[in-house]
Amino acid sequence: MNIENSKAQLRKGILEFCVLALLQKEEAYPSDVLGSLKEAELIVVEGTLYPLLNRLKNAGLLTYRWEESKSGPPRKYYSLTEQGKTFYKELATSWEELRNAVDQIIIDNKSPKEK
Amino acid sequence: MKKTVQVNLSGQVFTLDDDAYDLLSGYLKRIGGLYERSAGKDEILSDIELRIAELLLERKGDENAVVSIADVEAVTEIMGNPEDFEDDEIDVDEPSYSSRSYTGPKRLFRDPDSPLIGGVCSGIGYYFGIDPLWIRLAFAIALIFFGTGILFYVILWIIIPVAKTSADKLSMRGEPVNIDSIGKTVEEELNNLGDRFSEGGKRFTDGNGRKIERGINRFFSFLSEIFRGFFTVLGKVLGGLFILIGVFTIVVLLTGIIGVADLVHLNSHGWDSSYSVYEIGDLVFNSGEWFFMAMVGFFLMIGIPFLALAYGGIVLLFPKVRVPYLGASFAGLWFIGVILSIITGFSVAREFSKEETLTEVVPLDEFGLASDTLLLDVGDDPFKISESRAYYAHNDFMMRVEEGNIMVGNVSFDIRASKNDEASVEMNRSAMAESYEQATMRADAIKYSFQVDSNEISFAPFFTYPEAQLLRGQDVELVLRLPVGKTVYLSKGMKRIIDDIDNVQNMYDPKMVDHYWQMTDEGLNCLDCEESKSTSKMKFEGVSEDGEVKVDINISEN
Repeated sequence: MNIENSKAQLRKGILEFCVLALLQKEEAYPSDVLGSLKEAELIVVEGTLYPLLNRLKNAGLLTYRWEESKSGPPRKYYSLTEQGKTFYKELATSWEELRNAVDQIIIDNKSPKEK
Repeated sequence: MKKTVQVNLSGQVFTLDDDAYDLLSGYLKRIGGLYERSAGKDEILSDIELRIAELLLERKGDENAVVSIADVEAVTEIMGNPEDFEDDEIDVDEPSYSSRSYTGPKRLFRDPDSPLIGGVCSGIGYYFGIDPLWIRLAFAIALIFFGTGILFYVILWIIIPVAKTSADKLSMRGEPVNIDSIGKTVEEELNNLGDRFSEGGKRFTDGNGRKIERGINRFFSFLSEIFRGFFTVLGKVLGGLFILIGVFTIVVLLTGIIGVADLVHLNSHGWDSSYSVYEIGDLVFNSGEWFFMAMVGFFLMIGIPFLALAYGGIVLLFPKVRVPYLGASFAGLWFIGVILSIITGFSVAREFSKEETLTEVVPLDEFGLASDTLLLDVGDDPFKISESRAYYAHNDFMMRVEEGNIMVGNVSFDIRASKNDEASVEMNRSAMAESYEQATMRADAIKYSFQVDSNEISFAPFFTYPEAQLLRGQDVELVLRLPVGKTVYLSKGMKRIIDDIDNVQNMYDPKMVDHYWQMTDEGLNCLDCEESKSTSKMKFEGVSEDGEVKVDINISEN
């Protein structure tokens, strides 16, 4: 087993959820999203984000609008659609449950020393 | 001095060094290729271009500065290796988000991981969920029997795509294609790759590593361009040839099976008879069903490879034409063909497993032979073999079906010394079957006759039996038992049936006719033959110095 691999697997599974989470409060453009994700070490290479955004958009969870930028090319601001918000809420609930369950398992099975 | 190129990235104009441009456009092409089949390809690409433009601007601060290869390398590093983007769920066919994980249809691929030769058998094994060993065995058997295995294998090799990507391998194995399972295979793959590169990779760790790597890549892509050009032409030629051979063979097979052409010619010497596959089939197989099975098996086993060959030719000529599941259907049908052939082959072979011979001794004294010299001749020959060819016709299987009876024109005749003082004809009728009882019944169904008229005996050169007894190795062997002192005259017609008669002169059968022969204690002795004994002398002359054995052989015929 490769530890980096396992970590990547874990991260990948929740990446989609995190992107929705970042966009649910307020609209953002990819560079903002990338900044947050990189800070949280959820993403290693930036290219990963674009196919993901595209897929979420095609699924009707995201929408975007163009905005001119003073310093560079125009920016694409993404936000959640109504469908996306519902979707996010559902995911958030199950994340909560999942987190509690995983925590419980980890605590229950801690080795005596750590307790 | 460096050449520069101006490009427009999302409305922003950049000036790139020539090599920087090459690297960037190659990078974008790779991404484009990766999402080739995705609905959002253009959008993803333009989003990524946008981000690259942003990053380049950030780096240079000024859009008029020239972008160097180092800049592009830095930016592509941030964006990452396109193969690592790994958004595994790009919806290719259905844009809906309905399925987070789906079980993809199983597809036939060649297995690049555990091939014996080309991974064909292994892939087929996955497809049908059986151990590839059995598939390999089927190919091996087909190889022994008809050699079509090789041809078929090569064709399958051509038409079945190799499983290149993780998704391919999963749909080859029939595992559900979802994040978990792809993760699993990707991991396997990475581990493999790691092993392979841990050795080779060390070579490029010096400072110029990247440059060397790029140079090598270019060289190889140049080589592969040349090869592709060459193989494209060769492929078209082969494609045409494959289609021609495939179609021609199928047509021949079909006409043979439908019975338009007579496929079976049973003779080569002067008598004319040929049968369609149907007529022979009815005489070989126990029932129409078995015959049908054998025909289907035979056609599938022989025909499918040629059908596949023709299809392979079409694929070579028009690479876009790919019929889904066709490769798998070919493999499946061919496998069925092999199995049917084996089953019917065994069922027929069983019918030939036991042989029984009925021996009858007919004393000639009963017929009141008038003299000591017997005149031997053959009766009317329904096969009309001319005298000059009579002896060689032994090698042919002569058969005719008439009024519900099978007539076979192969009878063998021998003369041996009698164990008592009486002349007799020993008639051995034999046949094969599944059991000794049936073989006995079959042998007894054989009708053979010879006529005795004063001192002349006339042997029929054929025997008959009812058609219902089928072709089961029925055979008639005659032995004339002569007491010592008796003389026989072999008429010329006897060439048709005499078979390896021992005689003092050691004369070749066809030369024995038209002579008088007397039975002596040493065997038959010719009474009116000219001395034409051939003599041979062999003299050992010793061994020479270099180990050569010298022998003088002298054969003279006088």
